[in-house]
Amino acid sequence: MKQYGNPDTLAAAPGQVLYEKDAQSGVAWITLNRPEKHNAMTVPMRARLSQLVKDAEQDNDVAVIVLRGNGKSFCSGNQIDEDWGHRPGGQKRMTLTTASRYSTEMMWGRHSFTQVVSRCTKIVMLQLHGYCAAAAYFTLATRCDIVLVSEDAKIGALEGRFLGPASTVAGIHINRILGTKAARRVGYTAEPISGDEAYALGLAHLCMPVSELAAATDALAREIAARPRPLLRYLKARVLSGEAVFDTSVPTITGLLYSHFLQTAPDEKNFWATVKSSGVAGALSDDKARRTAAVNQLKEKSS
Amino acid sequence: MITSATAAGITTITFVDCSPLSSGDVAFARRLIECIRDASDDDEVKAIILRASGRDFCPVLPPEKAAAATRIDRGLTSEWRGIFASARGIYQSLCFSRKVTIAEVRGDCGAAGTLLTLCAGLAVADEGATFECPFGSLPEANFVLAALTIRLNRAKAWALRGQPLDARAAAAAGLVNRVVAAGDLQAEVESMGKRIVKMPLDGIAISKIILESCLDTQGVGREFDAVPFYGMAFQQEANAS
Amino acid sequence: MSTTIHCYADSQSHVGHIVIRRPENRNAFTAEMVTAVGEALVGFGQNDDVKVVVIRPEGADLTTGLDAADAERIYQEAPGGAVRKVPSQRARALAQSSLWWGPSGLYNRVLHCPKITILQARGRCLDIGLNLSLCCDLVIADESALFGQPRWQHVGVDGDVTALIAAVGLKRANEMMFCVPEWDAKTAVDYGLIDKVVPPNELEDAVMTLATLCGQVMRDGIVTEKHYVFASLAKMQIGTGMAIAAVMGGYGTNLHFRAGEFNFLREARANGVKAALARGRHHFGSGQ
Repeated sequence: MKQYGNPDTLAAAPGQVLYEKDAQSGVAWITLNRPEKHNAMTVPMRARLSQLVKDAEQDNDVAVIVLRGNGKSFCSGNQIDEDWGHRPGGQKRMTLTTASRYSTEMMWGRHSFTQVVSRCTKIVMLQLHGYCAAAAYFTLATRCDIVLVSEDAKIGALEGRFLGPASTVAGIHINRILGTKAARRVGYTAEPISGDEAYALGLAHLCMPVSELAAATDALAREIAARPRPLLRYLKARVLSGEAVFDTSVPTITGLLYSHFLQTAPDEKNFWATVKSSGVAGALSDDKARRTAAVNQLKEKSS
Repeated sequence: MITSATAAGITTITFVDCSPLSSGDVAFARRLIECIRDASDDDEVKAIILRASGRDFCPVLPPEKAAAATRIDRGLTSEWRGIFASARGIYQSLCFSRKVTIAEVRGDCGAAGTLLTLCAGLAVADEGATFECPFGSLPEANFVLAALTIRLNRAKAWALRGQPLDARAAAAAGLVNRVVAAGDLQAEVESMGKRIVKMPLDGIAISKIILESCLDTQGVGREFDAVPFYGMAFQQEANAS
Repeated sequence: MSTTIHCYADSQSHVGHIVIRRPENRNAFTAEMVTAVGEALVGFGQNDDVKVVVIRPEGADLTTGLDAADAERIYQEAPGGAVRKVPSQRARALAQSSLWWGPSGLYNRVLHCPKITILQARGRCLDIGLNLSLCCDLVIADESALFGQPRWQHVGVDGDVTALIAAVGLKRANEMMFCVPEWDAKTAVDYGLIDKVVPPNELEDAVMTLATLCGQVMRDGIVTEKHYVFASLAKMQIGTGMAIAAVMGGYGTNLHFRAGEFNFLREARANGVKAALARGRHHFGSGQ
């Protein structure tokens, strides 16, 4: 299969997504290692993550896979403005063919990194701290079997503020994990939920101070991996089958990642244009300023 | 071993405990099915209570009994299939009863007791109750039912980690409706039963028709239908251990 | 448009308002009001300047549900409703579908509104109030709010339960169906029926702040995501639940009441639904 990316991102990926395993305990760790960018993910990084999960799935030494990230956050989102071969003909905007490749093969569909995690026959745990607040990684978090969070985690899809909710409301599994109200809230307000909230809603199995998270995840991974392997195989198979029956296993629609095709109205801010001129941080603070202004205007009106 | 008494619209089915179900005890299961189905068809009955007279609703099986239970014949032509894995079996008889069913859970609630609790319409537990995860030992355990009751990720973590849920966690997750002091348990359940009895019988009938449809559309029935295959997979993995 | 349902759009905040204005009757809905809200939602759906719809009450209560006078009338006026003495099953199914669960029914229209819907809830949020809570995207209530379906304990369940189960979980849904007719605001938020509870004097601000923030999201994003959600709702079988509700909802008036059972329908015919519910509360005892 063709490897997408550019020479730099392809070369960097192995050092940005690390793999270790402990055959004794049966635990493997996949660690995002791009802390200077809060683990922003490139196409090759996601491809590598997928491959590592698939390899661990085939490895008899491994019973439990732990996903985690170095640095302050698990993952801040996709690398903005990444060149990965998405304009093969030099087109001005993304074609539907490219969008379906990106969406179906890479992000949400059966061969995507989120589905590789979701359908994995080994148990996948997530060690989530800091930000996990972009749609793709919120979705990834909801595809892992057991999620441990830090109290200060921020989970959701912040880009929903300016790009629209990007399927964070529409995922059936999200609705079945959070309950329908919280799923709507996360999607439409684009406000992140805290680790405590994630625990209260049932997304997270455990919540604790960030200083305790790594040790607790480690201990739980070893505890589960110590269960008899045939039993773990059977239990994960039961969960996969139950999800198939319950219809949470595949996304509702795996066609287009539509945000690239959205059109801003004249009174709306074009996020991508703002990123080009002011960078991501500039665009985020611009958006925050607009929101604050809107709320202040409302307060003035009512007083 | 199992008695059934009906008074004032409530049938109370009492056993010492229901751990024989965890062992795949066919005679026990048959008798329980009979009690549930008779009460479900009785026009004088609106609510069915499942109660243990012993100290615990369903003691967790000791290791030798648990090991023996994994070796039950769960083949496609086995007795297990008819009694535990079919529409006329114990769990579907309870889940799809035409009356409102209440599990009154005190103390330890082993796998089969937890599955009965999941299948019952309502559940009240005492503060000391702990719910053993049913998925590790009972292929008839219904994952969709668990997910609809306590939400998907809680059901997953419960199944994969295999740790019991205490009464507080069970209430927070929505596995039980109420947690009360042990001394208040029976009174709380009976009070719930009395409220249910005030509903018209026809009203309960129509409610259960709608509810059963909605459960089926969401996959509860399909998951039950898959149990014979889960039994075979379980048998294969149990033999591999 | 009737004065009991007052609608207007604020293009600056991008919010469409639907105000329920029948406080002297605790905002009980007539059939006309039900249709008016549905039509307002369709209208706001087509209004490019509206991104968020807020449904809110005037007065102390959100709503006590369908007005008693209309409950029987809607069956009689449906096709096949007045052929014989008692409205036929086809009339009932058609009325249920037309008013609530079918393509142009209120709940379907709320659920399939292509804009973000926010419900402002206080006081009694019964029957229609409960279903609006389930079908609106976001719900903020004040501490006085009470959510429930008082009719169920009298005539059994007669609506969609898939959405209720999806929101609060199966055991809790059963609780409302069979033994606890009303949940207070704290229970409702704990169970996941609603999003937030605030003190009464903060309710309006909380709702409008939320609406304003949601209104900052781009139009294309909101409407496109909504359509993905519609596909997911169908996949979650909430549409199936509504279809079941439409046909099953009409069977309620066929109920036979046994000796000792509170004959709600006879009470309602003789003395009106309000009196019947009051008497029913006595029959069931106070509280939960």
